Amino acid sequence: MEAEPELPGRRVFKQQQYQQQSRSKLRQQKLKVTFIGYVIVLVFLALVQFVGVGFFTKGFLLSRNVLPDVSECTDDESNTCMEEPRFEKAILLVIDALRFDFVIPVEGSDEYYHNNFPIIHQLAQKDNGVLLKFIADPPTTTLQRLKGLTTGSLPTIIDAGSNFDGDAIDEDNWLLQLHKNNKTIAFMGDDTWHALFNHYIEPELNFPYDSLNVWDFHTVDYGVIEHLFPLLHKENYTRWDLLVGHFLGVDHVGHRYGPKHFTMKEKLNQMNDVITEVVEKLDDKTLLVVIGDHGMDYTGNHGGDSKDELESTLFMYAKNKKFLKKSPEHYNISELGKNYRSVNQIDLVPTMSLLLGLPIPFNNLGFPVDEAFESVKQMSLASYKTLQQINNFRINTPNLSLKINQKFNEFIANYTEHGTDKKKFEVLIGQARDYQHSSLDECKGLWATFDLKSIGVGITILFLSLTFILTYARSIPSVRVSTMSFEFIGSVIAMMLLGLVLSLSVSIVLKPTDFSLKMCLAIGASLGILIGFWAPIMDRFSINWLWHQLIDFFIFNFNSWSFLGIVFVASHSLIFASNSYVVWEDKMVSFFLITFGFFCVYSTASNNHITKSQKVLGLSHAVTFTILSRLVSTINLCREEQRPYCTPTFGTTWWSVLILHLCSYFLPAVIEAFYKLSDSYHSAAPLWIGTGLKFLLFMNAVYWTFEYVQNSDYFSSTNLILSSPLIKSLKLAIARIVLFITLVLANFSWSKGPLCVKLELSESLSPDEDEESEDSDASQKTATILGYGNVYGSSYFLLVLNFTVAIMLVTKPLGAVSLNMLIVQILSLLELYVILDIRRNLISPIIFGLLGYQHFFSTGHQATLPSIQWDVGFMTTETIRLPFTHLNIILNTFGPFFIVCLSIPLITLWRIVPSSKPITVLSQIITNITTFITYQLFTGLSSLIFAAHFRRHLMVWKIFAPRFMLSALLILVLNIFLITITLWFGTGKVVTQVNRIFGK
Amino acid sequence: MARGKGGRKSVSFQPNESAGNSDSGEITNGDGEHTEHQATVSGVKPNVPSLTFPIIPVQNLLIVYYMFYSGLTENIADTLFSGLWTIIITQISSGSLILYASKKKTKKAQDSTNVPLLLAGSTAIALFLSIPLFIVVILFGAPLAEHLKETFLLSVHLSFLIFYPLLVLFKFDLQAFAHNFQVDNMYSLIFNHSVLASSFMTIVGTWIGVIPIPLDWDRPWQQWPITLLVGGYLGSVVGGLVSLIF
Repeated sequence: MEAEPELPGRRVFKQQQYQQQSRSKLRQQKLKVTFIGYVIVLVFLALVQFVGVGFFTKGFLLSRNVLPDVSECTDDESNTCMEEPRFEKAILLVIDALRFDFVIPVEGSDEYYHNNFPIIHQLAQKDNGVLLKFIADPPTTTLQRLKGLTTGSLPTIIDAGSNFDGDAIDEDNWLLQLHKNNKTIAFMGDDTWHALFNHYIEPELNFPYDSLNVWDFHTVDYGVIEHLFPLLHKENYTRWDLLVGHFLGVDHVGHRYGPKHFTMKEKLNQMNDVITEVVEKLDDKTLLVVIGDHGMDYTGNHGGDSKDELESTLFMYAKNKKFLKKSPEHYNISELGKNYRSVNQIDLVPTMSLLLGLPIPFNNLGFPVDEAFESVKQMSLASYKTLQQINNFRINTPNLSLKINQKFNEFIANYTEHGTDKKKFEVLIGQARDYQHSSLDECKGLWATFDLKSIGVGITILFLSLTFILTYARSIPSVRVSTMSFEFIGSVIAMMLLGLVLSLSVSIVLKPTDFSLKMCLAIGASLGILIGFWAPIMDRFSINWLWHQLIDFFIFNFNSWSFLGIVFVASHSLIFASNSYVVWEDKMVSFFLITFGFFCVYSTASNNHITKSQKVLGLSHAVTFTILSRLVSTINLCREEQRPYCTPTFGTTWWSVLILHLCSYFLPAVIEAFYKLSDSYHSAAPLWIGTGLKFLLFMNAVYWTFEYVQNSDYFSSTNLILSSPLIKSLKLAIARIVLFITLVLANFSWSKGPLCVKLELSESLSPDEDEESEDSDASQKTATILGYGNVYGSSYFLLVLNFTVAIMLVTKPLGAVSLNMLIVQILSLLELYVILDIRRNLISPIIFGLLGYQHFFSTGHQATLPSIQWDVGFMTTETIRLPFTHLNIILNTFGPFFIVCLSIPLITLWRIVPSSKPITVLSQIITNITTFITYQLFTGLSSLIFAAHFRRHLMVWKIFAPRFMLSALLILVLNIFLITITLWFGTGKVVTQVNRIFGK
Repeated sequence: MARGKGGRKSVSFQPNESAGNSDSGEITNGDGEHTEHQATVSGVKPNVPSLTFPIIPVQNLLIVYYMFYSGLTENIADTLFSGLWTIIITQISSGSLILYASKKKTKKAQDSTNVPLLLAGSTAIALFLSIPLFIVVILFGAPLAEHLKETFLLSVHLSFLIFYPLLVLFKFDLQAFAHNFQVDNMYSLIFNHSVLASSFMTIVGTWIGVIPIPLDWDRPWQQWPITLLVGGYLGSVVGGLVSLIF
């Protein structure tokens, strides 16, 4: 006690005090050193995992080989240019996310997205207009689609990640061809075009608008309209040859509200007006093309490959030129156009090129659209030219099947024989289409080429790090581990350097063709680190000893709890072996948690080592935990594959906002009750929980109330006192304030070490203190420290609350409700761990991991790309601004895991008195953290292995690949979060702080 | 935590307070992982009426087969309901078998039990216990909005499989039953007794019965709650058989 009053005449004591002080100083230094040792070890471990994940990702996420060649008009046979272009100019209007059923008449439908865009279907009934279903290739993200629509190739999923950067296109495409032929391209709208085709667009006629701000429905569209119509005036008509307009409103309404929102009707009506007006102003030589780049699913999102996301619209119109329409049964609009004639999106590429008299882009795989040409003869010529180009491409691309090339020769033979025969045109077109189909199918299959070597290396590195971390976490006694950190660090650095040198020399001498120098170095370094980790272990313990440790665990330490934990981890890892279980992972996780809950109920009920009151408390905690787990599992956002067995409940409704308001009152009360159980609702706690938490939760609720009011049909039709811009700025202000307080201010003040204890001075002696102070003066003052039994826990939990509130803000209302329940679940669990005495069992961190998954799903996420809630990125800023937009999205996506990770030290810290051996406490926290990482690595590695195993599976891009991406991201993000926030910031602060004050 | 003091710590202002102040809740050092198992040692004797011969509910296999035969996959609720009579009757007869098997040893107590009343009472209680069981099944994740009828019928079936034999075996003696939970080696006790093993494995079987549901095979038997029912029934038979091995 530093604040002790000095009493005179006690020299001996003073000396003792000095001794004690210097001893405690020494101990604190030792603690700090141990702590740093742990952090460095974990950083190295994380590095190895990152390298493993990196290698796997590189091998698994496909990249396509792009030929840099550019087609040209030639004079010989292989010329792919039409001699007489059918059109001189073209207007291409892209309406983002224009699903096919938006433009066809749907009888009896009251949906906002039906029957509000009639002009297209009306015009298509005439001879000079044609409407087709337009099938996109996955991934259905705008950048990929634009690449496909201009190059005629199949952009792979690896490009999907660069949607937020956009990068200039270097493949042959028809915009490039236009530019090369001295045509002028005017552009307005989505700035993705600007990023891709900046070189080809006429600088004076280039009007890009920010595309990713999904909360803004009008800026892009009004911008397009503003610049589009002046260019259609007679005097400006000569200034351009191709006019591209890209509208984003429909897409943004979808992202923001989903299709079933009245704004969708306004937007579609607006598009209807635009098209009507453009058609009026069109001249004779211009072709009007209106397309959607992809569709949207029922939530309004896209990116995957469901039917709704793939089906969009292609509409072509010319003032007085006929299209070659097929018989009416091809254009059947019944059942939302289920049997309507459809063409591939890449088919637009040869069509546009041929119609405008350009050479077909070199990498094109598509086939011209039949309707676009004036006669069958022209179409047959067009297909001949397209085949020439495809053949040329195939000859220049390695590893393509010769059998298909043979088909080309057959076609050419036929064509030279019957090319002028009117009756044979249809046959020839059919043959050409057959060739193009088989070529496209082959390319689709081939560009799913996986780099198996990289995949293998990645899996091996991850597997080795898993074996090590398993040994580190569970096999070696944690106390011994604490003294080994620096041995680890020394040998790891030495072996890493050795590995680097070795791999450098290997790559210089042997020059392996499959691995670049960087990759060699990464492999060398990571293997070196792993060997460096094993060396000290092998030095101290033999394999035999470790093996006996394992057996000992199963003989002595194996109880129902550890059995349950192992069952959970094993089954969670095995679910990746089947697509059905990956799809239903949310239900499985909840099932595990509820099973655990019932186990707790049973084991508290039958436990006779605890007192009656503890039993009652334990039972109530266990029942609370079970019921909450069940309640949480009712909040879900169904993924497409779960239908029709799943009804989504996740959405912003009036009652979810109301619950949010109620929670802002109840959650602080519940936490207060939990704190009072350990008598620690003192000093910092009332401030944090009673005032801060309550206020911030209320602000969150207010934010989402505004959001709800802004979106609802009812409120937007009535005139509010609060105008819409005012609400908008209020929302921005609230979001910024809350995030600033929780992430910056509260964490800063927490780092100063708030304690939830109270000193109670009493003059008279209470009866149970009699024995201790028998020898001292009777009149002596005694002090009681209230909350002493939970010093660490009560203080540390405040940090958890800081982050929780921030995460709740960026989570949609029902998700925030589920996070409210998460906090109660965690608190009940902590109490249960104490009562059942299982906090040292391996199941404790595993249950935390499962909780993280459960709330990942119940906050409206799934392991799919479309379920990423991009719109929360714009809560704090109006435009995309690093790092705020990204911070919001990360907090939203991984928030539940962050809360859980942050709570892991509490397994050890909850309800313990200040320890005289802080290093022991620290080492147990490390054990729990590493066990948690082990669990994540187990499931992660399993999902990686099965994703690689099922790489030819039908569902790989739909189910296994997104799940692998989630696992890989989790390994990355959780390692970083655990080391920096949980260990460095949280645990480091609380342990040293408490030890400084209470340490003996 | 400092037990008994409600998380408080008293500090006296006298300087040389003894350093060895006991902190009962403090984490023990080092190899504590190995001490966990020692804490559970207690000398509680099991109190289970023993059987003269093992009772294995093989008839349950026939019942399941019969239910499938009479159209379980087409009309779940009705078949479950009609199957209920079969299971009640067979459980009552196997209950009397249990009584017969456990009687011979305790000849003195023979007179005091009213067999028909015991069997009838057990039926009533098992029926009643299906309500909490229903809640448990719902908590475990059974659908809330739909299939409630099927879920309830499932819990009646399970209640008869799990509770009925126990009620008959222990003759409503809850104390004696609860007493067995304090036994050290509970699992060996369970698996040494055919009735206990059968009840226990019914629970486990139902738990495992969840596994086939998510598979996308689109088979009629994947409908709720057929897999759980089959899991429970099979579990009861397997439990009986396992007890033979031990």
